[in-house]
Amino acid sequence: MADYPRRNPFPARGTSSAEETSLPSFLSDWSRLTPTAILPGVRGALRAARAYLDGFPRDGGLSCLYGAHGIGKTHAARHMMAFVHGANPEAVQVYLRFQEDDFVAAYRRLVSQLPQPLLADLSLSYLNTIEGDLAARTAGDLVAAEGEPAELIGADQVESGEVLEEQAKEIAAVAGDAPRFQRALSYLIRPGYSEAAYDWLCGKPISADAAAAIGVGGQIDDPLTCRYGLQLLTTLVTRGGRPFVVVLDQCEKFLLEDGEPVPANAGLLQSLVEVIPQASGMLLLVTSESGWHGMPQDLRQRLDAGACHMLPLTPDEARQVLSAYIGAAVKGASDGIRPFTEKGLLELLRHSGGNIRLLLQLAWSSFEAAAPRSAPIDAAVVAGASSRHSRSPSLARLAMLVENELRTGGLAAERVEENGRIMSFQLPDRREPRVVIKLSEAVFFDDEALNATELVGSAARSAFTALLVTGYVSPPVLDALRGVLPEVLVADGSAGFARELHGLVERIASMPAEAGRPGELDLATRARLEELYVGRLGEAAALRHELAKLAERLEQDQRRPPPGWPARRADLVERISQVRAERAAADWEEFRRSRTDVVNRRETLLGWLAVAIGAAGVLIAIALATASVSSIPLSAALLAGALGAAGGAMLAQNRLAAAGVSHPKAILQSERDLDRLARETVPDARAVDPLRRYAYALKTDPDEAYPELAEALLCESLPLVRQAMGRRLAASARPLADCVPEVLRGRREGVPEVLLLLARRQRRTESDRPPRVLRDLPPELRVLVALANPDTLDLADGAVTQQPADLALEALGVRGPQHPLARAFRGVVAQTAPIEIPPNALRATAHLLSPLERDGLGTYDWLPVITKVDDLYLFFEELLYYQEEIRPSSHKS
Amino acid sequence: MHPADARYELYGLQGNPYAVGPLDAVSCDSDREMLLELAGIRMSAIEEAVERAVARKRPAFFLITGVGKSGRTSLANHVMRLYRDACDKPGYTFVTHYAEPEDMTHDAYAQMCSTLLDLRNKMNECAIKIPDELRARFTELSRRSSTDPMNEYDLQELAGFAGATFAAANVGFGVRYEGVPAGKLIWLAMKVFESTSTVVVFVVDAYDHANTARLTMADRERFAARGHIVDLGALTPEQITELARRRWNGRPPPPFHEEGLRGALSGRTYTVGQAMRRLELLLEFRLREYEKDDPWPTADLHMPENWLRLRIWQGERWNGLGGTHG
Repeated sequence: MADYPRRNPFPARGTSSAEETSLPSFLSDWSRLTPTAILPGVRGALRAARAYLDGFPRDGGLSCLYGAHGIGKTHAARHMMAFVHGANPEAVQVYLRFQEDDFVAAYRRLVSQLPQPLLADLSLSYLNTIEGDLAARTAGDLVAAEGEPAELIGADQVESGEVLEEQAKEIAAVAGDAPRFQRALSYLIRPGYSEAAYDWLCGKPISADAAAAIGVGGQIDDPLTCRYGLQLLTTLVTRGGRPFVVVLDQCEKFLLEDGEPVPANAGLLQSLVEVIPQASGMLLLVTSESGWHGMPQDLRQRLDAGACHMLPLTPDEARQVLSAYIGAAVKGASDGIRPFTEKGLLELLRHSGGNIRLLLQLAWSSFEAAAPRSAPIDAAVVAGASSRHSRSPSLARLAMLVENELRTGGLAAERVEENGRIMSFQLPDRREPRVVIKLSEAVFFDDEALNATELVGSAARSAFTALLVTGYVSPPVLDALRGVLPEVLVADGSAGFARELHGLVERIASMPAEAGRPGELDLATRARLEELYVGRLGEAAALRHELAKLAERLEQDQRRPPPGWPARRADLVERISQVRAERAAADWEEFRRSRTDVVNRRETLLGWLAVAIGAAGVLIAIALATASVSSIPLSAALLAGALGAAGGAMLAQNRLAAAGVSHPKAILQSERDLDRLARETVPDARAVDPLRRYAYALKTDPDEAYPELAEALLCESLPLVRQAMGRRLAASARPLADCVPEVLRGRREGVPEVLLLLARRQRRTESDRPPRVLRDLPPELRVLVALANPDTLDLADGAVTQQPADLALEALGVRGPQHPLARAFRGVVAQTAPIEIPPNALRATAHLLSPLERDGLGTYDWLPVITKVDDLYLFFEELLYYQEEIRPSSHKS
Repeated sequence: MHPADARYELYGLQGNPYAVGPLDAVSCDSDREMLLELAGIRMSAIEEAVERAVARKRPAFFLITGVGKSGRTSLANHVMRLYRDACDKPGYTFVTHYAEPEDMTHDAYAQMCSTLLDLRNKMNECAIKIPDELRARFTELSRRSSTDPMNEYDLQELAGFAGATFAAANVGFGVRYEGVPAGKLIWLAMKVFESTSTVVVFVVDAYDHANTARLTMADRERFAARGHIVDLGALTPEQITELARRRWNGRPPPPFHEEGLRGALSGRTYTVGQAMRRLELLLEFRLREYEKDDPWPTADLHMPENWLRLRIWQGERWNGLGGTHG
């Protein structure tokens, strides 16, 4: 058994702060001296950092930690910074804690963290990087062969002007006001001006002489220029070859002023969120709950994928935290939490509300109280030590609070007491309660299953039940309870709780009087609850699961519990093949109808031809017969009529010729008939007869007659023929990149069959670099390229957009094989629990790939990669399924 | 074999005739003959501009733009030399003020002060007696800071005074600004030297970045009204062939197969510096491949078309010799 700790392992204040400095030694010292429990928030931050370092310099990083005060956000951020430093000591990291909503001041503090020699070095290595890039660009792909005369290399040095020109372009891409910034960078490496240029970059005032010499004008003093400056700094560091991490802490102070969002600042942050990752930097935003909710919707969405909501500690996590600290203080550390007892741990949670800072403070004072006697720290010790610190009200105090609030709101309520303790308020009285406000002690995880189920059970009896819990509810249980009850408030003594309570009472006061309909809970649900009760499912996950299911059941009436994914998958697959068959049948039917029309028209024309020829003959005969007897005019009229009829015959003949129907008698029963017939038919792209057009699609050389075939495809009205043409075109040897104009045009004109040109394997070419035009394609088209070229995924790489197709690209491994989505796609979904993707993003991607929705990629049944599209689609459906069906509560806030 | 082992004497050479930096026609007479009328240079127009300025006792302003290694500095020096020659009379001497790119800042006024004060130093070097009044003006100039600048007409008067002092001592002077970072300097210098007999050459990088003067069409027109503009471009294969021939100073004939060189270079564009560098390397290759001792002319020292093509191709493929357009 481990020794009793000789010193207090806990920090008295429980706060974690970070110095605003980029000096790496601070980070390593801190991580050496401060124990860290790897809680979900820390894990999230580490995951983001690792992904960033792995992807550097190809990809940037973006992450956000948010949660209540004292929940360990700064600690997590710092731990991440220490990790980054350990993993890559070259990394440049800056940490900034917003103190107000003044970005200019923040910028000045931030940039000043980077010492002048570092910036000067970075400026130089930035130029060297560009020079290297330019040299590599001109050198082509072949590397100097071994043994070749070395002095040849560098025969053409890249001109410095050229390097600066390239730099100007890059700077202009990330920052407005680019010339000033470029000058500052240039003068950073000129001996006499380096200091002044550095000061200017830091936003400090510099002398007029220096400003004129460097050509930068006045001091940086507006938020926009500061934003540019920060973006430039990112480019400077990352292009200088070093990872760059920016941590912005307490963003709420920047985003909100007196609780109200400041739109200008939100916009500013949004630009940083866009540009820093784009410039291969990593941005970590740290904010409170209010800051998170104060963000504009689109900013939140942008952050969502990398956001980590830090929740109050679960008992398990609290145990981890305690053991991390105790382990750091006791030599020969054990995993245990001795001297704390389990009861003591729960008591800590009860009084701290799961807030890690408070928990550490309470642990500190409990230890102080117990240490002189080397006594175990149990519930009593904690309770004694907590009296000074605890913020959360006792049950009796909570009852008083509620009663006061109700009275202020002018509401009459009856108290319900059990064992001399007030357990609930019922409005207007207990016989026919319209509203029930239940009070409860803290709700933990495992040992309070009974408590929780009881709460749920009694809740369902009333139309409106609010549950007020003192101190602490473990986050999973809270989620589950919120799924069942309309209102669950946690009385943690904060101002937030007072506001919420006030709001609750106001809502109750404004409710219509006849609301209550008791006895809503059906028997099955009751039985379920009984089962929960009797079984006393101690196991945490099981409880959560049951509660979640129950919540869904209450919400969604009689809906059956969801079948497992395999069943859903089979269902989807069946539906897909069904709609596919329907579509194929429709295409075939359309073709056949068109063909029948043409054949019928030919019959009609033949009929008219016969009639016209007959009429002409008859008229001529009559004219000849009557020529001798009757007058000239009559014969003339008859002859004219004959001529007219002959003309009609000619016309019919011409139309027939134009129609050029081949094999009019042939029977078309199946596509096999069609293929056979088409091979015997003279091809014609413009024929009215679809058979001849089909023959054209089969017989045209896709390389020689590429433009004609493409044109025919774009003009073709029948899907079946278009598909044949598209397939034919896809046999062309043209590189993918050269087909892009047709593809784009076809998409514009609503001819999806052009995608066949894209969904094919790119032949190996000399150049290893993927063509630019492919990179510029819309992401959903690049999905096809990636599917068709699984071995050369970089063909499909391109700018990261926020479009649904991006997730598909990630899953296919375009963003690196180690991307979590890519790994999940290769493996099994069950392992992907940590992927936090908002369901709406998943849904959008599934929609994009869907074979069931209009214009989904999966509806292009004739694509050669269609089975792969299906796989991808089912993968996203599966992810969605797991998020929606299995983990219903993880995204509720 | 080490490059030092290339035996140039076999060609009757002292060294590689193509391995040269910028020409300085002002200080070196032989360099005067070496500048060729290539890459957009129309010597007659330049000479005419110089002579007109000298005849009217007006300043001659030249603006030379071009990318790196396009021969800007050589041409600037050549222009100075032309000016000097045009002024030539018995006992005439010529001094220059060169502002190099690393001396340049965006502060045009400070730059101009440096120029004028350097002219004062040049007077001292030439042992020209500076009139007291002029000395006082110089003292005032150096004492006043940028926050309290002299008016540009004051500067003009000072420059005129200095020019007159030089002229009285039968000394001429020229100014060359390399890598002009901003247009301001050009306009200020043109104003300051407006009534001085001198030559001022502005060399501007033809790149698009924040540390070079980006001249608009209007700027160029404005300059052309009072000065002469030369835009240095890339050489054609014919011009490179001519360069190879004219710079050859070994035993004649030049060892290049002229047609072959032209052919091998066709479709490529090089600045004069890049072309020279290639010629230098080609000559060196030939010598290093040569193991006999017979001097030029001999078949093995000749550079035939196939050899040239192969070498140029090799250079581009293996060594990043492709140039900026390769």
